[in-house]
Amino acid sequence: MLKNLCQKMFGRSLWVYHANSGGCNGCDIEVLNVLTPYYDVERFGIKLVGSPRHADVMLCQGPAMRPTANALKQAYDAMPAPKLVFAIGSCACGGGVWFDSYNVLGPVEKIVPVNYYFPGCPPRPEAIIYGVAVGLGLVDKKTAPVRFKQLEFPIPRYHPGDLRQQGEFVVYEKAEKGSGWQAICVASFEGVARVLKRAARPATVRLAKSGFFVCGEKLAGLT
Amino acid sequence: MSVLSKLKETLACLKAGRVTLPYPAQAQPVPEKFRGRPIFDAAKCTGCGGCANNCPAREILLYDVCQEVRILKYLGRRCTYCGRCADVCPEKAITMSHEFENATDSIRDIQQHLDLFMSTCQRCGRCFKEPSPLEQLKLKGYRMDDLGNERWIYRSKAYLDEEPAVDDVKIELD
Repeated sequence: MLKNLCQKMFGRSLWVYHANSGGCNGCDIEVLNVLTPYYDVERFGIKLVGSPRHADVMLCQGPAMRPTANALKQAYDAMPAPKLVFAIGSCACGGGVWFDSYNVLGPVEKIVPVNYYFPGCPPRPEAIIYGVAVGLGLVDKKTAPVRFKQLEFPIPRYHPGDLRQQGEFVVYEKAEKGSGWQAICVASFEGVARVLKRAARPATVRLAKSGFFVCGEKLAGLT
Repeated sequence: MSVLSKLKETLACLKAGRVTLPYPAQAQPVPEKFRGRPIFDAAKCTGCGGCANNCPAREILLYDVCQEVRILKYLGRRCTYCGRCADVCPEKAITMSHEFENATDSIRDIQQHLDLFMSTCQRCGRCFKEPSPLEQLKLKGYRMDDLGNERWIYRSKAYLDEEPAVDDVKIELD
């Protein structure tokens, strides 16, 4: 529905207004590159206009800076009602690498409401064309937030408080069964406790020559 | 004279032929060394935090939940794709991909969130200490970044304060 509405609202030619609020001119050159015969967007009806009063879309480049914030807000207010704002480049999306400078306020969404973000420093001309197509609802966006987990909770963990003195041995009580990280406690007669990661060896009673006693999962009832 | 120059211009245009690239119709290949969006490989990452220490835009946040779990969050808002994180990664877990079509309507779409398992000392169950005092000095304290507000914090002590370390600038707009 949003796609249809968007295509209906911006059914005719998009007129874009190009607002640089303190960028490094890299994104400006890429936007002008889009308008050159190589990436000829005027065949899609996209035209650069000089006044925000004629524009449908504002292309914001550069971060929101202290001297230009007011002018950017005024240019946004001067645009007629169905309007889109595209933040082009890393500066407009997030503030740029000089985000902690004294006169950089941050991303342009602090000043004007941003509809679409084109990250890149600068974005390729193809990325800008693609972003305009995403904004018009012609294609779907390709990115989605990603979350990876190396291990699930709870993690079997060794805690020295679970060591118990039983007879002349020190035994680790909470050796969990079936978990991938099986703790095997090695306790010596001197009371030096060590936890080994379970290797391929079977967990059986083993009395080492140096006097170490190994207790594993099969020894839970035994100890 | 003017007609002749127009004719010359027409001839030059005809000689050049058609130069418009067929981008939206067919995919445009990128150069070989093009650096696009960095992709984090969670299987290879050891959680050393070298990428977060070296990111010029401070876009990689680290937060230690407990001793075994460290959260690495790549925000990507102001990432300039400099590739420094991929350079310093000892495990080559970060690759600079050729993806450039990243336009979204929500800036959170380019985030990557990694829950890393940090192996601790198997004897005492705690994290390792950095071996030398020089390496301890490198820890500037952004292992306790502000994940809720997605902000990098200068000092770890500032996390304990009530007021945030990196405050937003508020100005009056009329």
